[in-house]
Amino acid sequence: MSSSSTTTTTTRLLMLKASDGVTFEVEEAVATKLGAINNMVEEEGSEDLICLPNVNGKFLGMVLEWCKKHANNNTNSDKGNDEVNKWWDKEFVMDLDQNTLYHLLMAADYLSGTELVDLLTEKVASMIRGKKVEEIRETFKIKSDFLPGQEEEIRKKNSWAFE
Amino acid sequence: MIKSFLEWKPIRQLRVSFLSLMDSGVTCKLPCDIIEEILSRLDAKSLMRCSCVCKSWLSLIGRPSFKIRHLEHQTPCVLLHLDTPLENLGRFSFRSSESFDQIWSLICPIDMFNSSSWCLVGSQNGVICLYRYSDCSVHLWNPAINKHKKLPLSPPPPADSFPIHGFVYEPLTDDFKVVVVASCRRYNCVNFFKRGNQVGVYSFRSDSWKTMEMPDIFSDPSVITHPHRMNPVVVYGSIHWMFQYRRKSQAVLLESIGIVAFDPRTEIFKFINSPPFTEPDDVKIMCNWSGCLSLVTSDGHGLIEIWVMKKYCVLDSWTKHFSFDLVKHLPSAQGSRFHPIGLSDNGNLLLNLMYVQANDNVELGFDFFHALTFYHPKSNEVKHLCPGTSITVRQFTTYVESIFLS
Repeated sequence: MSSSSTTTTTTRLLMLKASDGVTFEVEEAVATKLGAINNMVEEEGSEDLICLPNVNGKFLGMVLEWCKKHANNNTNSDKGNDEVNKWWDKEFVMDLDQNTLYHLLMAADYLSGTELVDLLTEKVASMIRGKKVEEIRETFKIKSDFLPGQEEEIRKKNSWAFE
Repeated sequence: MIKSFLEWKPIRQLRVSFLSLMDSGVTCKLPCDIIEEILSRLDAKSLMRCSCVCKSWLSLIGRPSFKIRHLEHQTPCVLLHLDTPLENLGRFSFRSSESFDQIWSLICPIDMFNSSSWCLVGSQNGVICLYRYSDCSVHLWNPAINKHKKLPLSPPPPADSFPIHGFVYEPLTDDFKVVVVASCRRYNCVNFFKRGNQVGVYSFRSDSWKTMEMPDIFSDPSVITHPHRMNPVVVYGSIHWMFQYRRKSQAVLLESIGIVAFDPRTEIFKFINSPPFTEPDDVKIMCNWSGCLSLVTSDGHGLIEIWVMKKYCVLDSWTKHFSFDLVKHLPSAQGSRFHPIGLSDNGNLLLNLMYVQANDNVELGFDFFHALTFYHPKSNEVKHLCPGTSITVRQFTTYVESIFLS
């Protein structure tokens, strides 16, 4: 955890507790990449344990893994950093199954991890691009609630989009 | 009233706990605001398909606030009205990324005979407004979703009149408006923006025109005005037209550049002075520089200045924001004539470069060449576009893909 903190500045540690009781000890610089944690630290100081009743330990762990990687990569000042982050982000979202992806997205949204939300929403968006309507419904577990004929009418209006 | 509010509270709590129950479930549905964020990242074509998924998606995609959110995720481009059709770029116009490394041609749904038979009035939220001279028709067109609408004919302008057009989106009423200002003939020349000139305002929402009269915006009624050939610019939700005007001051004829603004919310016309220190002949284009009204001047030999009105309608706030000598960055262009065409949202300046080359044919003497060039002030990069071709640009506007008009 303290691999990058070879400098003399002391790194403060925060305790984060997930809904299922799992706790994580994280460097402040890592945890404050999440807007919600950053606000709590600024308002109340970082002495206390921070409880996160809406996030399960599995997904909190994944969110923190992402934060750690980005916090570490950002401390190196070379220019290829963006590339490294991009490559790492790609790997991070590549093999996520849909259920994990959704839960992770909700966790990131709840913790106001703006950059991570961007990354994950972009991933879900890429699952929609170029897909047929039926495939999109399947992906999002949505049942059509249109009245008979209504869907055909909308399709007809934009027939070019279905070619 | 208070009671009913209290009664509502438990229901809201119930809904929250229902959501967190789903959190732990195996299949989970994403909350509406996340769905909205995901959909707002899609291209127009995918979104049109998504509107067929279910009722709630259909209504979400139709919401003006969603259309704006979607717009904010799109990459700004520029739209050019070219003088001559470009080989492999198709017809008369093309759209390009701001750095001109990607170029697409647009196939216009309206029959345009040649590049001088129509003009680009403007582009707002992905909707392009065109005016065709042959039948005085105005067209709205969203190329991203294949929507085209020919507007009902505007109130006929008086004979001999050359109308000026403007196009604006009004977010409060989610409406597109087209403004037509007729000219009048006086002292043997055409006069624009003069008191009593007929004005027509079209609203897309009501699909109709209303007419009004141009108020008096000049303190001196004997002013003579000529419109500037560049298209109008929208800043602060108002349409701006640049024009040249002449007025007599102690028997001396003074030439100046002025700007007329039309606010579609209040339907008020206003006169705005150009920066006092610029040569009227040097002012080439008006543009939107990070949300401020700005003017680009060129002395023709490479010296370019960008003037920005930092506080809207405050004459004292005109500031010289940027000044650079293009010949320094492009020594080979020494002796050429530079004409600024437009400024993109990220600060790229598009220029037309005209240079002369001696010709072997003694009788003709010289050849004139045009080269489309762009300059990025931050990186000092100068680049020739479409080298080897001789294209000239009639009009320039910024453009972003959208699903407006759907």
